[in-house]
Amino acid sequence: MVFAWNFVKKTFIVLEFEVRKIIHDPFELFVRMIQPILWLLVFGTMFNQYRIIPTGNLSYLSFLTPGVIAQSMLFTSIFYGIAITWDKDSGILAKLMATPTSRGSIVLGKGLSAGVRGLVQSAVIIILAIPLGVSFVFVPINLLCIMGIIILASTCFACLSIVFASLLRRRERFMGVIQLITMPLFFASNALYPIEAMPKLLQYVTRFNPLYYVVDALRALLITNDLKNVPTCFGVLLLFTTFFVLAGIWGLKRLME
Amino acid sequence: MNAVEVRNLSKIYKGNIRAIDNISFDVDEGIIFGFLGPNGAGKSSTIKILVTLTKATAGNARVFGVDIAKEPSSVREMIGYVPQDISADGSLTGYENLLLSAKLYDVPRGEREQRIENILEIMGLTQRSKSLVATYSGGMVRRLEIGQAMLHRPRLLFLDEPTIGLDPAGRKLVWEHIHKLNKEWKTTIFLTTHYMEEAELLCDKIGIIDRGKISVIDSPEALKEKVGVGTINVVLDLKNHIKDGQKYLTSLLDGLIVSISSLSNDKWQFTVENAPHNAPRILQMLTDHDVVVKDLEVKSPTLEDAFLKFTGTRLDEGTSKNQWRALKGRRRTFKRLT
Repeated sequence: MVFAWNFVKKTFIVLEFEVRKIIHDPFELFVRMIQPILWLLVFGTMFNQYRIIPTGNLSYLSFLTPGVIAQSMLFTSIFYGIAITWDKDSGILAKLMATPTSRGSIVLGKGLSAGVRGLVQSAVIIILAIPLGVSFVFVPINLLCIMGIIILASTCFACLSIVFASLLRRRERFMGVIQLITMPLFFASNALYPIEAMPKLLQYVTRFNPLYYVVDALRALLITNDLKNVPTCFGVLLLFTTFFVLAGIWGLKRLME
Repeated sequence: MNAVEVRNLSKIYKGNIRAIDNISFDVDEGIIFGFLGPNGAGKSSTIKILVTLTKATAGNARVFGVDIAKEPSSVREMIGYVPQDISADGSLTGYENLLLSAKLYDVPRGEREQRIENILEIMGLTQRSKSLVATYSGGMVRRLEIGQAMLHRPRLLFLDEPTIGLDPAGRKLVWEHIHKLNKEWKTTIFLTTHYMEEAELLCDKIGIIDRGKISVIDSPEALKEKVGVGTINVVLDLKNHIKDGQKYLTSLLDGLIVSISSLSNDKWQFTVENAPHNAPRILQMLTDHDVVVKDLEVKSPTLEDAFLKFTGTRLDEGTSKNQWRALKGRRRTFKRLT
């Protein structure tokens, strides 16, 4: 009990100071918003006009918006490991790990801060998409679930990134590998097109992609309000996130050796 | 009680690199203990194990009687740690850095503000507490870091190369603070350094460490005494005995000096037991024999001599490459912070 309370408390302390850092310098947060906005304004409106991609009775922009939210979240969180390598190369991480703070709190707290970034970015994308004609389902319970999905997913990708940082160590290698994995993660998902449009083999691969479940859940909660897959998505995401948080703890210890 | 007890500790890194090779030592409570050695001697590795960041390959250690491998979290509560590299977060303010430490070390909510204010005052950072640490000078960052490590009043403070990369004024200020913490707060301090003067000025006890092994542990005075010999440098006019000065001087000063070496044409270095005491007698002997002494310099044994005696190497020998790398790393960190 005492341990659990301590764990929660320390996690939120780590989170608090990560958020303070974002507030001191929100430059990166804003810059990272430009890309999703381009996807929506340029790519989205263009494909919307010609109806090349079969999206049933949804407009392509409505179909795309949850995908763009997931994409912006993925692209921001997946680079989180670079901050850990900076902290490791200076003494910041060493000092943090010498305080009575469990490794789990450090990883989870930092992961959750990626969730805070994700929430801000998602809100901006949704607000921008309204004048473009995307109609959202604004149901309070849905919004709560959306926040949950965004926080889970950002934490998941941030921890995945910490694992890669600990395996690759050098920043140059890290950047290369992360660039290499983000595009397949993005394209082998239902963010840009329905998976029915993919070859059979790729459809199968998609099932192992956490981003697929993020987009599926967000699309249901934000656009279609067809919620039958949402609990599964939640469950699978929770599994992915738990796994990567644990792997992140392993990575953090490895990074310090 | 001993603040630190280390028994047969070893750390072997990948590729069979022995950073620490079976060392054992104790640190008494209340003293300033210094690990003196060149870069790469195993100082930082030892500290990293003691502050529970990495695990030892073999052996064990206790901090105030608590086994560091079995109860790392109890150890973490008792100690403060300032790593060698910059550890204050440049993207937070000085105040926020202190607040973070206060919260992570469970300083009671009611005491936090008071303690932070107090530390800012002591470290002379009150004026700049609301500025981002990225705008601080190297010395200010160091003082802030030591302050962070002191907020929870640890019984034992680990400082890894506390003054590396600081200018002389900054170093002096940091030394004063370390001294004060030890005297007024009764904090036991464990520091590492590769600066002779730092070890001599601050430490009650010094452990000389080289290539993963501890050669000797003693007070600075005792270490110098153990060296025994000092040196006398002289400039002589030997016109009467120009043929073989070395031979002449050796026979003349037999019994007074240990050895003699020629530094240049007319410059000589004598190795002498108890140099300050014997210098006048040597001078007398030389003038009595019509040797003109144009210049004379007496050097008592230094810690440097002790280091040389106990390790067989000079502290600055062979480390310049490592030092260069360390400096480059430090520069990088600074660049990032500013």
